[in-house]
Amino acid sequence: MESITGYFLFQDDHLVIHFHGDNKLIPSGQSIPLETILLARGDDWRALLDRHADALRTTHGISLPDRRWKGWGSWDYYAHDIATHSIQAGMQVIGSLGVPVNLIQIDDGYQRMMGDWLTWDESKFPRGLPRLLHEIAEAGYTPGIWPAPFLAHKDSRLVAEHPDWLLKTDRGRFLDVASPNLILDYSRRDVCDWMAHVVSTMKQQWGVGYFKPDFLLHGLTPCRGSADDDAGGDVPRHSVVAQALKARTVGRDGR
Amino acid sequence: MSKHTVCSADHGFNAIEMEARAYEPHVTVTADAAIQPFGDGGAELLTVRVRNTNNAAAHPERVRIRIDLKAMGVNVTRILAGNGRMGAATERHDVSSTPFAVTSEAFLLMRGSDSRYFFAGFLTWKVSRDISCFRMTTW
Repeated sequence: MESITGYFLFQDDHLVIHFHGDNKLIPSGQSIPLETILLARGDDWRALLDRHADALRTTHGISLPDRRWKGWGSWDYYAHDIATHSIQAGMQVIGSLGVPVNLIQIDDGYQRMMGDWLTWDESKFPRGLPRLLHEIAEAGYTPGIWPAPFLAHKDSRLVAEHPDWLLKTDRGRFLDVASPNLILDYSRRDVCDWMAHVVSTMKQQWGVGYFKPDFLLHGLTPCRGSADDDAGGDVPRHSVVAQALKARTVGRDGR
Repeated sequence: MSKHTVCSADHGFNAIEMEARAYEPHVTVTADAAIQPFGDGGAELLTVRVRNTNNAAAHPERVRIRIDLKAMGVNVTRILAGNGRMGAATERHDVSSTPFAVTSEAFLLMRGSDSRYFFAGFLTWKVSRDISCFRMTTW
């Protein structure tokens, strides 16, 4: 259903819900709905969150696959300081504990630079990242990976080779709201195709079975994309990316 | 700009005020609201439509819904969770030490001085619909 998006703000004992119109045009005599808002009070905060999640699932007809993930991600202990041996060490410890883990997820730090998702840091992964991912699978775990699909470091190869792929200000300068990273312009078809290629490669050639897309909020940066039409904007661009990721990462069985 | 209130005293939300404005000068858009019970436990759905009653097309530029929580008997002491611009979903904000506004893209979970909780969240949030496939493990 077409609707106008908004955001919540708490200020001075008031809950204020803002809508800026999404550049939508209402013909004479017609109306457009705002996003429907669920309001609830209760003694159990978990129950309130569950109610919202259930309402979203019901409203949008979402069916979740019957898959329970229990796993280990590299971020909490290693942060960016990961390498082949640290992932292998984590995997060995998990194996020795005999815990029911089915996921090993490599987080931020594997890539050469933000945006260069298919090029790993050779000093950390001299045998190549795909080989390590295949080893994870051979050990009986689903290999997972972390991308930030909206971001590219200003010194990345991606930015050097495709400076026209980034969001820009009205004056033609790079939009600088996530320094040192820049924000990809997903109003462009070629940028969407590139991200689809990235996740397809990770899934089909590297064997990745779990994606942890991060920094999604940068996809909601208010800015006009170079190929945005009147219906364009941050929310439509975000939807395009999410749907492209879903199409390339989720199989017919929902996995 | 149009401005009016909608009441739902039966379900506890009795101080909802709305205003709507169009980008085009001298053009007025109005906001029509309805509130209805949702499921068990006193939850409600607030639906609002922005209507153009003019002879020319209009871009709604600024629509605001203000809910006076104190008037509803909710004295918020802490923002427990939100998402997007406020940071991680588990970020906590003590209202007494947070003089600035707290914003969130999809929902806000607040705790009142009576240790009860107040929740507001979009049900038709497009981004939420699209990313649901990624099995956001928070839920």
